[in-house]
Amino acid sequence: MSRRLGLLAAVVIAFAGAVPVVAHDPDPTFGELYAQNKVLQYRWSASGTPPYDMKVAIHAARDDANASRKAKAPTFDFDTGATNVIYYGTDVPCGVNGLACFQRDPPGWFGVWFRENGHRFDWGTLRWCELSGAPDGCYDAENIALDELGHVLGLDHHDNFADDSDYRDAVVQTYSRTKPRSGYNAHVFGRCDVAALQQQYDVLAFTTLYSTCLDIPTVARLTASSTSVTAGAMVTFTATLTSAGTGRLSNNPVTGRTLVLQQRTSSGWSDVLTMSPTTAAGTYTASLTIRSSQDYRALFRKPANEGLRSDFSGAVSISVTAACTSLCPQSAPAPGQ
Amino acid sequence: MEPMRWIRGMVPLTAAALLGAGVMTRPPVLVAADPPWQPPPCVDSGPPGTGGGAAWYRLDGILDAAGRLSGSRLSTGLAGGPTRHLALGAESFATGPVDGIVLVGTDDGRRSRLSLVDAARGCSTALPDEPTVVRSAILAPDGTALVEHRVDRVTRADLGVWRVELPGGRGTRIVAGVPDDDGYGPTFSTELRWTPDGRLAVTSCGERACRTRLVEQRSGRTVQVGPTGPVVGIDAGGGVIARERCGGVPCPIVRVGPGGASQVLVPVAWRAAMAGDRLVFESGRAGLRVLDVKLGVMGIVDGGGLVPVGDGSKAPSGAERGAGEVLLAPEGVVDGSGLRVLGPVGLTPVGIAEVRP
Repeated sequence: MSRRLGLLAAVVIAFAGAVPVVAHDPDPTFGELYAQNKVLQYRWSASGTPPYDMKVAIHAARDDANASRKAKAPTFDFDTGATNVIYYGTDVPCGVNGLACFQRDPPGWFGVWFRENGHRFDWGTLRWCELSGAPDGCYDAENIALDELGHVLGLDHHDNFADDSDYRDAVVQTYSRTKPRSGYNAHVFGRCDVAALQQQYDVLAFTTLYSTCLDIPTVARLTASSTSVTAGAMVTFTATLTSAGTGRLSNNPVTGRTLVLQQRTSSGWSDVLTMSPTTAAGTYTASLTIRSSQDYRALFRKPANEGLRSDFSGAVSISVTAACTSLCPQSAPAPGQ
Repeated sequence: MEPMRWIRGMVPLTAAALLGAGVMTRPPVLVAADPPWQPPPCVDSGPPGTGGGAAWYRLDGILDAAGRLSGSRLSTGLAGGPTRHLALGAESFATGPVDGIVLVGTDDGRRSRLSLVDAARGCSTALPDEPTVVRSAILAPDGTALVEHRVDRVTRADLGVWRVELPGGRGTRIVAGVPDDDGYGPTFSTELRWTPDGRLAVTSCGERACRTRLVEQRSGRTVQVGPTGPVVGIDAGGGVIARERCGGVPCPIVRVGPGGASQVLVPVAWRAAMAGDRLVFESGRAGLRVLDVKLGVMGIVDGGGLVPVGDGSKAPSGAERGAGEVLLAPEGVVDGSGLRVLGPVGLTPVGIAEVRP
């Protein structure tokens, strides 16, 4: 090595720190991110324009990505003047074992490459289902394109269980299944793809369900319109529910869920009523006629369909300060009943 | 390989525009207007090649109207000289050149035919047909033999690597095929290359990862390294320089030593090639860099517009060059003009024709 090289030297060798990834975690991620909800336009490469059925599959994957991201991840759109290019053909930088691949350099550009139908691998001939009459053993181009678009968004390969029983949890896979194996034609991001997108880009809206591949703490809080009332008075309870994850998923209002108002009993807590969502994000309300001093709290139970943890608020004590001067509402039957 | 280079000093948007407009517009293969070459048989008493430029080749796939691979076209010649085109089948390969010879293989569905195309003399020597499928092959550095990777014609099972003495000797299996292994998945590609210390490196890449067997031909002693991503090269210390297992690029390049220890050499790399202990890689906006993997020092290559061209038996193009020299081509396209090499020392590429005897 020349002295000149030595002067320019920059030692970059470092021990590889392989970070173990637990299966059923969100997909790993890498590289820089695009801006939230950015529209990433693409066009066909002039030197490698896909055949018609491949174009249809790629456009379908675009729609799949846009519809199933459930996050403020960028969307994709076709534009003939786009900087980002999608190529189909024989001249691909996909390594020797790739069906398709991507290159990305946010926020500048990305490229996606698809190998040609009929490419010879050691195991045999590559067949895209959409271009070959969909025989067994073919690869679903729409599924593979969705995988590549996931990479463009910053997703790395999902880390599967050893037996691949969780294959359907992600489309962004180290390898892709062929027809007719389960998941070969998945056309929506898997729950662990979505989880990573939500972590990286935030949930699409406060009402968007958190991926079940996540386990995000929540914080429930409860206030009352008054904590000292006469018996029979109406008290309005207001609860808020926020996410308590990290990064993008911290302190988000969580809207459109089910919060329950509970009161303390001799044996613990019991549900009183379900609180109603208000127009304010992450806010729920309930009104209750108070007959006696009591402790109340708001409870958010972990839903089966999303990755949020349970939480309950601190207790709010409502004190009844004076007895009713007449029959207390609801404490005795009304005349005639 | 689709060029994707960054031009140092350009703003990203401009570079991106260039990338989008320029590097992805490599002209398609024109077949109809360019009749294929039918090389005559080489005869021992024939005249030596003329011109003195380094031999080169490039293999392009040809697609039919439906986008299906229908054949291949080999372009070859000497640097600075005319280009010849050879029509081949869809399952074809080319490697080398070694002493001006490009090793070409093509399979017609019934047999594989290998030939030695002499780029300098403009002739070809056919080798005996092989009933199994020869996926790729490379010439021994001294040109007296070749090693080829075969798969079963029906089952596509890996039949291993075979050594064939030239001209036309019988094959002897020197490396067994890899068995099915869930850790790697079905084998997509098997790549052959010579190591600096004369061993044969056989890299078998499955759908999940690659493993490389380093084989001493005389003793048969084999060291396996992996899993890794696709291999860039083997350094003089027997380390396998490979990609990490990435879905795309940029992707780190690692060195996995004979004992299995792994080091990240380059955390962000685009296209890369290596020779000896020098790894040349695209570093995004930072341009072309060279890293001495032994010393751990890096330099900036004065190579505007040049792209490193990989080697190994699956490389779609190549050019003859000296030991320790990394091939560089404008936009990564090997076509006989503008080829450069980066030698074992220095940071300025030189014209390939300048270094061939």
